Amino acid sequence: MPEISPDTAAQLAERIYDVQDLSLVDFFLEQSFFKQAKKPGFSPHKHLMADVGGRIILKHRDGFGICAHGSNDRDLFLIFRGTTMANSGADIFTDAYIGIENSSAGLPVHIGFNRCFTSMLPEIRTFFSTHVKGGKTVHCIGHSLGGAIASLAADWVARNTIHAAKLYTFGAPRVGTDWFVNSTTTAIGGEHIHRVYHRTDPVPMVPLYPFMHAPYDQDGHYLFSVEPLTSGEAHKMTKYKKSVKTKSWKQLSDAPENPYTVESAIESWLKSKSPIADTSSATFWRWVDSALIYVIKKVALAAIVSIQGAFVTSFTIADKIAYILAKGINLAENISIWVEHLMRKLMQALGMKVVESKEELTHNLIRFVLMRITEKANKEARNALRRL
Amino acid sequence: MSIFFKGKKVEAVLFSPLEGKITYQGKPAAGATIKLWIAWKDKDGETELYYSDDQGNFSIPKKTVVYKDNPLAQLSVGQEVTVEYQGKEILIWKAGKSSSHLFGELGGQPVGLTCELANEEMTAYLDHALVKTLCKWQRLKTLED
Repeated sequence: MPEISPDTAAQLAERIYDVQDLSLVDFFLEQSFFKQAKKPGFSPHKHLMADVGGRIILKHRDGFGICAHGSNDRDLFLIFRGTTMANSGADIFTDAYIGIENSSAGLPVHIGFNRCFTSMLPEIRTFFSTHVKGGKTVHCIGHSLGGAIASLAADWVARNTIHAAKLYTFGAPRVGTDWFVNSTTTAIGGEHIHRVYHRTDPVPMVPLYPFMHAPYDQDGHYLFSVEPLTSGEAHKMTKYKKSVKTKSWKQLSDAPENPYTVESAIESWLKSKSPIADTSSATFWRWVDSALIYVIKKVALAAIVSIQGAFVTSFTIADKIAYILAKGINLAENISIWVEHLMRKLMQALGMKVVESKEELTHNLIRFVLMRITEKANKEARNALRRL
Repeated sequence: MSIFFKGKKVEAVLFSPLEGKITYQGKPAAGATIKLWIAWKDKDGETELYYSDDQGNFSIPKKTVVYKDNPLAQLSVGQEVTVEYQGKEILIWKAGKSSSHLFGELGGQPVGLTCELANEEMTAYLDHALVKTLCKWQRLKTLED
């Protein structure tokens, strides 16, 4: 089952933003990737609609999508767009949205993205049940929020239909936690997931841990950029389109410069007393993320706290992590020292007065620091985007 | 949160200048009313009127807006140009544009543009944006030219 090229995926992820009103859906579908009316130049649009059949338009306050048949009988497309100025949401990264709930497959995912996707799901079901016969390859495509929705769509297709799913995202944020990411990688197949991101695009860096990216334990299509700081420019679809131009998927994989999963590297970052260089740097946030994962896993293992189940509750994520870390403070020295190091590092980054002893690290203080750092990460993402 | 981070104001081209000649059955369509509709921040949009001269020549100037940028909310502009001539209303241009660039619709400025109202089919130009138009041009002048 062939995949589509980076050029094609980028073109579709970009053009979907041009669909400003519903009458432009027809223009969008006149691109050669899609099934065309049998007598081009003859049928006016309303006939064309019946002729081609099976286009479905998906609408939600924060997103928009199209289900359509490909130009050959093997392909289907589910293409999603993020927020536009006209519905001026963009509040998907506000604190109210960053919670976790179970996806249609019962896996922990981001509330905001999940609600957007589930509102479109009835139409997607209708598309498959009324317009699709035989096994196909379903190409799920999107940029930014559209990429997050495409990820949930591909996961749904892989689990609930006879079709093969392929996923192509550009600058997408993180959709779910460890459990979801692991499971969706198996369901879709890691080799069918094409996650494209610029090093300095801040959107794929949020939300912070426990949110992660699929494919599990893989770097995706990392695109190096020379600028040290995160920037909104690096998030733009036009920039992605330029970056992938004429390249193959194989060519689109610069190696990320630091494997932040190496334990000794994380430990020495946590222990180092050097000041935080710049909290706007792409590197800083990757360290924070790795360090959070490292310390939480250490505590969870020692205290036998289940991380998997822990996040799906009515508590905020900061509450849950604070709970786990506060447990860690009371554990043996070889565990609690890492919680201390992590909290000092975060407090330093936040410009707070750093605590002297671990007795000062109360549950409330840990919770406060985590909430501040989460806020800062989201602000950093939004701020970088607005710095253009 | 937003009080700390004021979005930077940027200029976006909502409609790139379009000028040329309107004809009907090969003859200049003099005194035609040209209605430009653009929508980007709401569904209603805004409408402006222009008129062709004795030779059928018309010119729609560049439409820009300065707005607070937030790339999480992508700019997406709907455009329509309709011509009223001899009691008929004919759509000559319909487009969706998501770039803020000048001439982002076609990738360049059409030179030697003519719009024949008797044409029945609009042609689609889908490489740079989603555009369909009755109008034809001799060439596109890109910004590098």
